[in-house]
Amino acid sequence: MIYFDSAATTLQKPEAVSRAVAGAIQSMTTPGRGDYPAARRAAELMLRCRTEAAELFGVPEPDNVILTSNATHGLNIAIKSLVSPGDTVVISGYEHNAVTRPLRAVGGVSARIVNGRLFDPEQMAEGFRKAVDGSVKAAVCTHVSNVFGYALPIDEIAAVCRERGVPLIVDASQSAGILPVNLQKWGAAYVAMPGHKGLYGPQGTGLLLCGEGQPRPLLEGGTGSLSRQQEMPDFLPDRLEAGTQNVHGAAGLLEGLRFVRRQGLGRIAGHEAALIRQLAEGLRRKGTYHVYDGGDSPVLSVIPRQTDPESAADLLARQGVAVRAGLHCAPLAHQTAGTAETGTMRFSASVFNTPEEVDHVLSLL
Amino acid sequence: MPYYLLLSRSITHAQRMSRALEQAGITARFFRAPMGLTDRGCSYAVRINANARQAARARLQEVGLQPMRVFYDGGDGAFSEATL
Repeated sequence: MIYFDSAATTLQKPEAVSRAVAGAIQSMTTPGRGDYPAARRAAELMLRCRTEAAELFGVPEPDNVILTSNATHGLNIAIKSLVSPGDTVVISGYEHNAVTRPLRAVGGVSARIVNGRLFDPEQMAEGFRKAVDGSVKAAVCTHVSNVFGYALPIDEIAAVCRERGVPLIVDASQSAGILPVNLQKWGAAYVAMPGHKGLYGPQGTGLLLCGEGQPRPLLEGGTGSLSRQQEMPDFLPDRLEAGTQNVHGAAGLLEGLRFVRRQGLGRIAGHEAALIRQLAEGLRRKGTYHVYDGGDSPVLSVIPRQTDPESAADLLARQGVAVRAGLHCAPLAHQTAGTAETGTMRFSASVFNTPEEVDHVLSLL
Repeated sequence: MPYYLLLSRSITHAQRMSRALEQAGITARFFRAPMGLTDRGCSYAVRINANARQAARARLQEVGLQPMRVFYDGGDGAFSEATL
């Protein structure tokens, strides 16, 4: 199978990831409970995972790296920590349901949506400049659109938020492991990311990077600390990590982080962008696809002119090529880009894809 | 041998204190704190030899990690609250 659905989940993982998960299953229990070797190994692993993630993502203290189940989990914590019923928030027009649904669930939230044209970061930055004011409780912005691969001008948006004292939540689901992500540089309140996409970790892993402020737990329960106290601890990471944690997943995620650091962000981004450019150019030449290409992204959305995206994706699947069609859980992004009626067929690359695979896919389309 | 127990707020805190001390050449080991020393339930503690007190204080100040409470055992098994 040729796999081009890495924006959902990277299928091919470094061998070290699988080995680490298997090794952890056989040798680790849970940190913060018992004090025997299997528990201490788990504790050491979790601290290494936090420490290396903190180094990669500009987090001053490893305690502020929270192990989550996925980016959605982290975004729920972040949003529900900062936003209360009746609040006003600013979001981009390219947000995923992982942002819009928690905002809806809070209830009574007024969302100012910054609708900028695709691949026009200056317009998007200007939109945030206009929308973020003193009445805004938080801003939420995806770093890279999961549908179109559009890299939003997060540095400029973060600067606006810092200048106006508005907490910023960044959804780094599509950028972590590909583009520079830096909590401290952005001065963000929270940055959420999955472990199973660009970080090449297992499903069921994710990271929430926490800036200043006291987050609100999404879950309450045992933490192995302050057990006589019935309120959740007021310190991280315990405050946000109730219950037995996914140590086995964290073992894989740690190796994924190491893989990304060894490869280098620049090399990964360059490789994936080159493949997507090759694909976009090939599809343009065919003339039978509307191609949404920003030029330097690991993600490409297209709309076939002669059939619907689902049928085109199904045809590819039957020929051994995995892509995704539909709204990609981001109806707002399609509404903003004008593709809500049809959805798109999305190709998304990883470091394991090759130019030969792109050529083969083009020969099938 | 007399020693100090540095109480931490969490296992992560204990690990980080222990690691910082070890990196400075101070023998340190973290483990679950005796329940009698904790007023709010389960916690962890880092044990250091009494003669490493000053070096430990300097190192922990240097890395910005402070114990929640400190206890001293003079070798008779009885703990008394202390400062670093």
